[in-house]
Amino acid sequence: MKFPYTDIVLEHFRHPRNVGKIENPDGKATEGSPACGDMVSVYIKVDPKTTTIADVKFESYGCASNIATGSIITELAKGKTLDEAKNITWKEASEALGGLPKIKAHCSVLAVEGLRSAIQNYEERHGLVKEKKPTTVEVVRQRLRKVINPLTGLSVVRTNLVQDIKVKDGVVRVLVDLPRDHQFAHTIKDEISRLKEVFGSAYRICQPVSKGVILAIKR
Amino acid sequence: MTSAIGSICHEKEVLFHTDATHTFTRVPLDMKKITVDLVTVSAHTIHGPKGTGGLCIRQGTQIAKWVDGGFQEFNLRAGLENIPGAVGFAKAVELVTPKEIKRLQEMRDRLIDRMLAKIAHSTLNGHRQKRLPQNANITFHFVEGESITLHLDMRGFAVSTGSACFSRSLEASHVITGIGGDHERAHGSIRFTFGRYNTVEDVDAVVRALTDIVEELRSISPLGKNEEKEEA
Repeated sequence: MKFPYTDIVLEHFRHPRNVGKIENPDGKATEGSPACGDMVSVYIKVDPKTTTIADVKFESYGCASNIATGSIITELAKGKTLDEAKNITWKEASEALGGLPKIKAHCSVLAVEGLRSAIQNYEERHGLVKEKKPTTVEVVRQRLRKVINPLTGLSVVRTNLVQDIKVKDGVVRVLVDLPRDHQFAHTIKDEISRLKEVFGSAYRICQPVSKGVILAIKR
Repeated sequence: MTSAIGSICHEKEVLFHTDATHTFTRVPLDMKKITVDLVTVSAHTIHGPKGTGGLCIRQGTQIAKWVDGGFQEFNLRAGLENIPGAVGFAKAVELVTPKEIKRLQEMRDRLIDRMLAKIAHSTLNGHRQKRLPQNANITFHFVEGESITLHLDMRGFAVSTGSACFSRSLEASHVITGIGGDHERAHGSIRFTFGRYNTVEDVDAVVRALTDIVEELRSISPLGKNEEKEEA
């Protein structure tokens, strides 16, 4: 099989820039998960005076397009203000790499989201989040799209594993259709409850009370 | 296994077809003993001409004609027979020797032994002996298969992977998941297949190359770092 990559992609794949971890980062985030495929971690150091990205590094458990996008996104973000960096799109990253195959969007968009989430993490830590989206059923559903059903590699929402979402009086209930003997029951439940962002940081996640139900309660 | 499936099919009066392109000449298949109705074989897997294959049909099995326009190939497939292809295929079968199969198996075993010994956190997929003599499939944990494949390609080795990233459907290898592996196992799996023109030196070279590549990819992976420290 011929690899569908441009010379720029191959160059970044072979010599990824800004690889590694930043000790005591100002913001960090991980997108994806080992259970279902590619995964990327992004770390940032922020210059508080200018609110620009002073340093940025990434780690990748992914394919060539994931590695190359992680690499280019760090180059694009360095020196930019947080607002500028947040608005870097997958399309811009892809263009900077001379184009990425469409089928690879799934693997490479993770790096772009990783950068955004790392910035969001910084903003949350520093009380810079101006307006918080209220947690609604639609917001939870949107966020659950990030949780992948490892059996199919598609999201738990798309594969109908999530049967029902209820938001009422500060309690979010997610009903997941997982038979006890489902091969990935544990992984999926663990991932949903671990994902704070599914429920929003104002929510505390409780142990599932009964089979297949994940519960989050407002602090 | 094939025999068990064949018996079930026979019992339920269902036709049984098996794709034997990779086992052909490598693993014995006796149609007298196994109740298989149709067997597909291909020339390219044994160094025969590409584009030539065969369908072995048990006598009495009804087959619908699938290319119309002529009466060639027992009135099943129209178009003039590919004589050079057929002759080449026959010659390719003739050239396979038991000695060659033994040699393939030795290379396979050497590869498995060396990989598992040299590269930490690597797992063989499938049984050590009950497998094709020319095939080894190994998962290197904490790294992704397409990345390994691309690095190996740049160094002149052609392998394949069960990673979802490598497939056009973005789905992990159904074979790895079918034998009990999860997505993570498929994600870092590499399939090595040997042929007549490979040598023991090739085996050692690919082990050396992979040792470097896996180390390099693990150094940029967010996974597996703690595990390694714990072991040290």
